[in-house]
Amino acid sequence: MRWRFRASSDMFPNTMTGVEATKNERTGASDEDHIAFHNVNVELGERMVIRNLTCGFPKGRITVILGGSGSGKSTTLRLIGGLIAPLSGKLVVAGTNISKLSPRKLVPVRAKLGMMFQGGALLDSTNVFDNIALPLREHTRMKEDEIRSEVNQCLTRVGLKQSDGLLLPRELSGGMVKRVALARAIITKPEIVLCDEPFSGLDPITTKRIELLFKQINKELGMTMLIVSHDAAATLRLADHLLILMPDRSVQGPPDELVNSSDPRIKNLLSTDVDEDFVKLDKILDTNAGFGPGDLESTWS
Amino acid sequence: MVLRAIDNLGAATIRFIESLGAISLFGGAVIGNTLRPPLRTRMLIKELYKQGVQSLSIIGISGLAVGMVIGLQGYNTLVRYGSENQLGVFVGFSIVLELGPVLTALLLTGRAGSATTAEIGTMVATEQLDGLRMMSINPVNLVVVPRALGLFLVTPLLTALFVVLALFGGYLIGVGMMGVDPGAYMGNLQEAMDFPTDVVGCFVKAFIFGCLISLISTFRGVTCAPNSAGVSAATTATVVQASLCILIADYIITALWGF
Repeated sequence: MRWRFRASSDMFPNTMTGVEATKNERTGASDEDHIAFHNVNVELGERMVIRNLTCGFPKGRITVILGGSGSGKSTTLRLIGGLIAPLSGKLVVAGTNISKLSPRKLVPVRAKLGMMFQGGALLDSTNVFDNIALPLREHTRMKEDEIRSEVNQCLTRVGLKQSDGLLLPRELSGGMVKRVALARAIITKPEIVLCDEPFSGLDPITTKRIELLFKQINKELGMTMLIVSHDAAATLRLADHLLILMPDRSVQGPPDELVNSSDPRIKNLLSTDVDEDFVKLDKILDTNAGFGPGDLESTWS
Repeated sequence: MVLRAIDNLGAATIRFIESLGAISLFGGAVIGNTLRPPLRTRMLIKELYKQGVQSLSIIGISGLAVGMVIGLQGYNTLVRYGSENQLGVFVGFSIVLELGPVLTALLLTGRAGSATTAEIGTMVATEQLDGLRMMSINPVNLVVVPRALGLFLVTPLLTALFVVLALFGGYLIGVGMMGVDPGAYMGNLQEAMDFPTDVVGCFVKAFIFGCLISLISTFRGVTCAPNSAGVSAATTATVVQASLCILIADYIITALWGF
């Protein structure tokens, strides 16, 4: 098979090394968490992707997972979905330890989950309507007109028109793909929604629209939402809770507390300021041929 | 040097047995899911159209061309011995016993088998199969079974078409161009062919080749690496492995069936 997971001899002790945690940074999972990781290790191929991760995600809240490339953000979501199994450790999702479950036993756990993939993962041979209706057709005994009404309601909720249901995935814009993927993830009203890089490849306006959509869905349906993101500004606007994955440790807590962390890496990750180097580069671009910041602003407006 | 060679041989043997085990488990899962409801009729019909109807022209033209070549070669050979009236038997045996099922299967591997692998492989690369798993939908049931069943069913049907058109091609050359007696062509062919051995044997081969093509092409698709290079490698592997398996199976069936 494609990936192989094997026990690692390279187990690390829990990870508050180097820098002191701030007062409200959490390092573990609590009983109230909807999802809890206890000393989870994951290896993909020969590479250790997640080392001794212990964290928790509060119920009914929006948690954003931040971290550099290759820090294991998407892997964390795939672990929760049971798409990959941990090498060791305990992973509790909605009260069930899924770390050693067979695919058949994962079915009732997955019924509580909805996942929005980075590229949408929509079936490209069927239209938007059939993509969203698929879980209802497969797992419920709803009649076709009930399914139609449910799907149309969901399309409206994510800001799409009913006529968009007739389009094929290849006919959609990037923002529309994300919306359809979100609609498919929430159509069965799961307890937990996992969103992998929902803002990647989107312009700032569409990013804000998707952000508002998350907020609205979280508020209306009370779903626990886990969002993997690179976008610090969006993260700070959206998150009730943050998990930051770094090579040697992970930190979690409320965003306003983590912003004041003494760890420069955390500050950097959460920084929305423009770097000095970037300003210099910007000036160079502005004086030479090509586009400058003004051009970009006019493009967005 | 010798130790390394033994080491490599051992590793290759283990890999071979591992993949044999994996494909057997996959085959079991496909059969299990085929027998389990729901029967996805709409998807199956779509696959029959894609793999069968859209392959009609390539199979038809190839059948006709092969029949014409066999007719021409056969006539040139038989006329030396004054046995040109046996052309129907020559063309019939060549096509029904060997060339019909084997060439149809090879053409279908290149046309529909590789397309099936590429399609499923692309679904793997774009996380569509993971998306299904997250919705607790078994990808084998929804994606693999309709495609595998479609390939399995169209192989004997297309083999029948190939055989008929190849016999017609041989007739066209023998009777139409070379002046062989039409009664002798058809009469000798009818007399020489034994239905339970020859014609049924032809379809037994076609069914077995259909099994091989559907199993290999879907397995390679599902297990391909999730990137464009992986899809390309899986497609190539399907064509190479399915073609070799068809040729080896052809020999085994011929030996066992007693043609």
